[in-house]
Amino acid sequence: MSVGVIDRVVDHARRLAPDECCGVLIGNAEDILDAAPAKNIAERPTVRFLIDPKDHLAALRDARRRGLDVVGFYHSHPRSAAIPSDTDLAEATYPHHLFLIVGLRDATPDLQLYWFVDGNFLPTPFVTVA
Amino acid sequence: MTRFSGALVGTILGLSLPAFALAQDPPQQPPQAPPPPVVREVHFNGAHDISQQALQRVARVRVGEPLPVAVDRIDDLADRLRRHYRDEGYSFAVVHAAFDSTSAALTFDVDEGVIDGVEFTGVGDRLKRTFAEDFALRAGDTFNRARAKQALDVLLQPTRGAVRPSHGSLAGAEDTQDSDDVHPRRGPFDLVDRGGQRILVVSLYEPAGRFRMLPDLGDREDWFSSVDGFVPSLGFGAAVFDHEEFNHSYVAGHFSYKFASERVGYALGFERPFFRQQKLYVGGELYDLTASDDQWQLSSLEASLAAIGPRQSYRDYYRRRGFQANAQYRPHPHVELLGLWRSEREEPLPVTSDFSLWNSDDPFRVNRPAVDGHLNALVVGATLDGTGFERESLDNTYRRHQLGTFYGQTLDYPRSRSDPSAVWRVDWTTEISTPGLDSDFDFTRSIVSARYRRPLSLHQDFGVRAMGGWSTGELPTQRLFSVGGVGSVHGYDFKEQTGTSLALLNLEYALGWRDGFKVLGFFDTGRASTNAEWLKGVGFGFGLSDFRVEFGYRTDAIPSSLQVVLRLSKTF
Repeated sequence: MSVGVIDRVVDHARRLAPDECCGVLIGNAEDILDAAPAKNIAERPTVRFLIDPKDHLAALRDARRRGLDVVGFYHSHPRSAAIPSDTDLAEATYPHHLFLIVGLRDATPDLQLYWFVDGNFLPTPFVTVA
Repeated sequence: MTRFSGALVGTILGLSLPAFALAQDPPQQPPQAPPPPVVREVHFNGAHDISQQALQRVARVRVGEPLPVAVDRIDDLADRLRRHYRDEGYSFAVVHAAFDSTSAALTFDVDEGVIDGVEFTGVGDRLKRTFAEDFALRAGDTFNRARAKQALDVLLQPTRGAVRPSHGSLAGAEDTQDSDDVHPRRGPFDLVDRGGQRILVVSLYEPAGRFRMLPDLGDREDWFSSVDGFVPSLGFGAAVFDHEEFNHSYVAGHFSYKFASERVGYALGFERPFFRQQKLYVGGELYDLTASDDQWQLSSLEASLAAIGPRQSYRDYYRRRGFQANAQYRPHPHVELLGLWRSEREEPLPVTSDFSLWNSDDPFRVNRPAVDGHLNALVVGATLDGTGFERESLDNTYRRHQLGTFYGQTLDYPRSRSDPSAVWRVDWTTEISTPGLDSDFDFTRSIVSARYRRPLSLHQDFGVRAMGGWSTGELPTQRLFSVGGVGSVHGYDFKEQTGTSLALLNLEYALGWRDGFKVLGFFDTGRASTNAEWLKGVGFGFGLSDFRVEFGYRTDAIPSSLQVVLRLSKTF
């Protein structure tokens, strides 16, 4: 995952706190190369996120134009750790996609990546590249 | 094994069973099929949304390993992928497989279900155009059922039920009669071939409205009271949908029969919003109801149960019959300004019921007599709400606009237990009734109430309610302010003080589970006149969801002033 992606996601999370931020991860089979912020249209954005389908599909089109794919999604937990909540698990769709969670509970943002497969979030290690 | 078993059975039974088929010559083995060829290359053309690794896993194909099926059964592999795509929501995906024996290359040609356009049926031309512009899915996108459904939900949300997905026969079928269905329908979505273009047809329908009829369990009148006895009632709500601006008209009715007073109660009204953004609501209502100014202190359920059970009356009632016209302007999703004209007869109501389950030897508390007269009043006010009004139901909006209480409504917790955001609301009303308005009354009364509730942590809630009221002229008894007792200042008698102004502050802290067991602590102070002494109450309680037992004391008489109150709802 490029450092630029991390910076962008963390900045988005901080700007929208106390609401949860959300967006789309763009890349290929090996790399997460970009993050596209999306509007959170959940009724209670402080505890939920729902990516605006328009932003989701716009990101998908943009990724295709660049020969890339939507490889996952990101959202923030403004007051808790970067661990999938019960709500995340209950409302997750898009199996075989990556889910990046930014936890802002502590001063230093916590980022964890998960692979959503068979209805579970599997922690997935990643390395950052410049 | 089979041959042995057959012979054994024949021997045991002592029969000379012909070992017919079992003893025959062994069946001829089919000719040995050649082993499947080893796959040297795998290609997925057109696969984007599902990764090639995932598809390879599903097809159970690996480079360097034998083809998992015979070459002439290669379509089975395509079927596996097609099923997988369908399972993942790509309802219109098509997969073809081919194996080149020369190069041992296995190729899958995948069409994930890319659409060339979107059309809406079942709605008017203007909505078709608007929806086509606003719908997230466009030409060139891949159809995915979950994604499309979510996009459709978002698209239809502002219609508030006036436009719905059609799951039955294809709405607007005349639009598609010259086209061929490319794929079977998936819910409201259909893919049709129109001149070589694959068009996603979204079928919708426009219901004319909706109608609901339900028993009114205290929504408009208490279902049991000292003045009316048992009051069974029925209410209805009918929405007439506006399919252009989604400004739905709402008609509401309430009918009741009061067994002890042998009277009929009713309310019949309507409301309609105008404008798309900054809405203006206009409505009116005809009514003949048993009313009370004390609704803010406890719920209708509690008041009714207290009356029918231990013969306690915690409300003063009066009769109001007449009509009102209301207008509410919403300049911002969180702000409403109101103007209301009320013309009604207000009459005192005597205690007429002598029924209760317990304490039947005691009389009901005397219902404080209202001043009899014709009231013409202008009410102005405003409401600020932290959550906003946009998602409020038509019924709730109508009820709120009819201004059944001047003291504001009970504040709900945030829906989610883990939601840390505060909920709050401020209500202001000023009621002006003077002889200049051809009224028998001459007073002006203003009330401001503010409610705030905030979770301090997952298991701690803090709430505050502040109320202020003041008046000029001569307040009739049914408009006097009161403090003391249940829902007001703990430790004191019901309506310990009554006067022409109001100052009240309630603080409450809860520790535990919002929907489960909790421990409560509270402090109240208030007075009903500027020169009256401040009543101060303090206490604690235990709660199980909304059921709670409260132990309250006057601060100047602890513990002798202990007052135990059972509640079935929050204090505010």
